[in-house]
Amino acid sequence: MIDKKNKKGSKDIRGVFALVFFAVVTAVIFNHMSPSGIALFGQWETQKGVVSANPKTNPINNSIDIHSAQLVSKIIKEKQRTIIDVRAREVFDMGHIPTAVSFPLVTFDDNFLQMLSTIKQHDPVLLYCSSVYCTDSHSFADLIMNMGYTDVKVFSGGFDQWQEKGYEIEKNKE
Amino acid sequence: MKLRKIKNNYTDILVFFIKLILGISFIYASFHKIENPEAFAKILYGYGILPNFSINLFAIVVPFIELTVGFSLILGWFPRSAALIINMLLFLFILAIGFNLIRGHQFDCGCFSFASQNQPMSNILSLVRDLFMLGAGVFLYKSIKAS
Repeated sequence: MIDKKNKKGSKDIRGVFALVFFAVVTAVIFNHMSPSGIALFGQWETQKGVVSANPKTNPINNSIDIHSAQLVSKIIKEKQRTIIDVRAREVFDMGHIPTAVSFPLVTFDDNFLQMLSTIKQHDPVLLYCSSVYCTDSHSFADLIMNMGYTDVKVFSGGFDQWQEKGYEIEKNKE
Repeated sequence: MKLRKIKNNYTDILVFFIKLILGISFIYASFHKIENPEAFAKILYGYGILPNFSINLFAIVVPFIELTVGFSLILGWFPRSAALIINMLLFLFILAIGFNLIRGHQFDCGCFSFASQNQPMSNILSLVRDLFMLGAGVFLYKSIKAS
């Protein structure tokens, strides 16, 4: 009786291994071939910049990240870079980093000509979106670097970090 | 004798429906995660439980385990093993959701879609649903005869 139960149990465990092995192999092959696949290891350390699963289609280049709100404040004071807010216009109007101009990622196709006319391709720019969990500024950075912008940086902590650190916020009047 | 036969028939029907419901639920729950592993990885990160190095690996593999056990249960390939994996997964989901609810950590369940709101109430409902499913899964495991 006990022997029969043990046999049943060991068959179940063998089945578990077989199913999990099949699933793991299928998952790795599918992820490798799928255009929406991700890297085996993501970037999930907030100290290193914007966090992301590192998808194949939109890999995050953390080497262009600026992590410190203090440094961003210095950049603004010394007018070293043009600050671009890539969040939605309505969110920008509610509050943004001082001197920032609004070029939302969602309306990039409609506004890139205006951007080309106002910001020269050799001008240093600093992009930001909502937080370290937001990858929009990196997507925006990819787009403008393909358009020939050469000096592009991303404030990885975005508006949330700016606000948390207690820096001044500019609001658009109604 | 006759009464026992009728009882067995009812159990067989119940087992059939539980297999179908659990199988379809797991297959359905895997689709959006397979389609968008990036979003699922962010959901897993939001749980704040897994070590960072393992998040992508879980995001790639877990949906395929759900898909495999879902089909396995419905098609009758290693059904007891599939039920065992389903029970283990549900147990882990319950632990993860329960732990975050207790510590008051805001998170999105991501169970059947990524659009669900990370409200404590919807997470409590997810917990209750998973508990019911685990109960059904344990009953299923005990009821499926080893071939």
